[in-house]
Amino acid sequence: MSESLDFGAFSRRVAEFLGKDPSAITRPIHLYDDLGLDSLGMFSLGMYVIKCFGITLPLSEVATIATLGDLYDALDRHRPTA
Amino acid sequence: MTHPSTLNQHFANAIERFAPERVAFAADETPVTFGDLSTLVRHLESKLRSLGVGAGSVVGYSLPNCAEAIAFLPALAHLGACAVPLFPMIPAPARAGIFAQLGCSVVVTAGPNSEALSEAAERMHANYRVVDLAQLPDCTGDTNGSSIDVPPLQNLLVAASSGTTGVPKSVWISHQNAAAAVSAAGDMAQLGPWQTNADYSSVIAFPLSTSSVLVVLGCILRGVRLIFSRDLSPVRYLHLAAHWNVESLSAPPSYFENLLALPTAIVPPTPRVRAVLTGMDFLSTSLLNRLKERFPNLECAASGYGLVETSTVFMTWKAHNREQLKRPPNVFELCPSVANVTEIRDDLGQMVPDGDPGELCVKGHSVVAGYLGAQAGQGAFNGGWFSTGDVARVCSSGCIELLGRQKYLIKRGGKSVSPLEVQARVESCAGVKAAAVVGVRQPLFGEMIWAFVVTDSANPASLTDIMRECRTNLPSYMVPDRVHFIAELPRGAGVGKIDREALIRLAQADLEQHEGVSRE
Repeated sequence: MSESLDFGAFSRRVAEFLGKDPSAITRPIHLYDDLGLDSLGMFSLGMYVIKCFGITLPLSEVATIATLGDLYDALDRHRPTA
Repeated sequence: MTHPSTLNQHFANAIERFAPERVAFAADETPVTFGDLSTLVRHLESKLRSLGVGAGSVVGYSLPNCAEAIAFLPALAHLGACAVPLFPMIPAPARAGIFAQLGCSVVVTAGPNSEALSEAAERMHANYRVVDLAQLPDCTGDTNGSSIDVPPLQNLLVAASSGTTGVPKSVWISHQNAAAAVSAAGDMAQLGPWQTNADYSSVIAFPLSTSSVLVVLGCILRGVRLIFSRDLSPVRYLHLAAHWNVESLSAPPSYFENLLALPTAIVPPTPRVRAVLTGMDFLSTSLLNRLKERFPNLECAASGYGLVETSTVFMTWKAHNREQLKRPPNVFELCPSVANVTEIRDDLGQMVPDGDPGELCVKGHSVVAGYLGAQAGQGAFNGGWFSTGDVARVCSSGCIELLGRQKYLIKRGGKSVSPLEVQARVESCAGVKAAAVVGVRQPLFGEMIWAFVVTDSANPASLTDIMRECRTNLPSYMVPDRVHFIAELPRGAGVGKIDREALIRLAQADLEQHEGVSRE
């Protein structure tokens, strides 16, 4: 079974996009309520981390993402397997 | 105060004001005094008159940078004729066709491209006569220099524009339009009392066989000694600057970028440079800062705003001292000599409150009557008003803050975003050398703000740095959705404006490739 997506690598990429320190990136952070991202902002964040990790997400899953934890889990589920 | 209403009045005023031995301009290392200029104009008038040029004649010219390229327009103005200046680098068949289309009776040319133009004119059986400058007939007869009395609304020269729609169009610029532009250019060039010194010089990088010769004349006839060369290379430019020990440099922003890219080891020092003049494109804070680094004594600057439809410049941004150099360079004031008025209007043509963005509209003596013939875009002219296609707002100071081209305004989440505002914020980040911001449509979520960034190679900014700067200092809806690092910003031909269409295509291709979302 392939390893999970490294949360540290994920949080570093998210931090780059948000202009924050990686230590501030935690699972419960809400994309809309805490980060103030609108739908396009959330899409852009998703596009950035997707590009970094070479993962494609089904559109149907994107609509269910509300927190950074949700985003990480979705990416992890669809990561390329060895 | 009454400002001249014709180019002839401007010229006569300058000849009367300045001593004949004062240097008006220099072609490379060769000075041309006001006395020389007056004589040259009279001789050109006489030569053209002997070719049958008179009131109402349409005369084309396509000259390399030389003294005659400065004198030609005043000479034609004195004869009551109209000018069609075309830059020699335009392909000969295109020039031959434009001269024919505009009804030229004579076309004067010079330099290595002359033969190609003659051949192109012959192939199309053009009705005009092509004459080489060196072969103009020797002047005979009347050289007393008196000009005919031209009404201000009489056409003086034709200029080409990309128009607000991006489709090339032509306009006739009248004597009144030209006089206003010459006045405005003179206003733009005034940066301090130290300029009254007869030795104050500015080297320019500009093709003179274009309508922007009005800006050049505006400076010269206000006593600014301009130095130009037939060779438009940045190395030659800086060598001339050193030779003449200039205090000022004049060039479009993209030309300054080329200057700054030159290794300092190959160009002579220019310690007296204390001012820069620019126009034809937006001056960025980043470029201004880098100019300050390269020229440590820089303390003044001016940037002109105008369009071909306004006969070139009619507003300026100015910095008269080092402190004012920190002011945002997209905030302009009307040139006092021009008597134009402006309004900011919404999509319905109604004025918007101060502080609200809208389309910049202008009316006054420098605004042309319309495009030639039945060209598309005439709707931009209405009741003397011209809709510029630029978005702006009136600041609390009463100045006009330019926000960018209307067609490049980004509509994001129901809000309008000025790409120039975002660009300015990105460029303020340490380690960013230059930036350009465009809107890119994503089918599901709307228009994205896409920032292309060129970093400083010595100390490059990171994505984290840029996003932190933007998220801290911009409203959330203005933060770039994507930062795209690029080696160099693509630029168009001519004055080298950033090619936003190329950036949009690049962004769209990247979006399609890396969207990362499957339509399941």
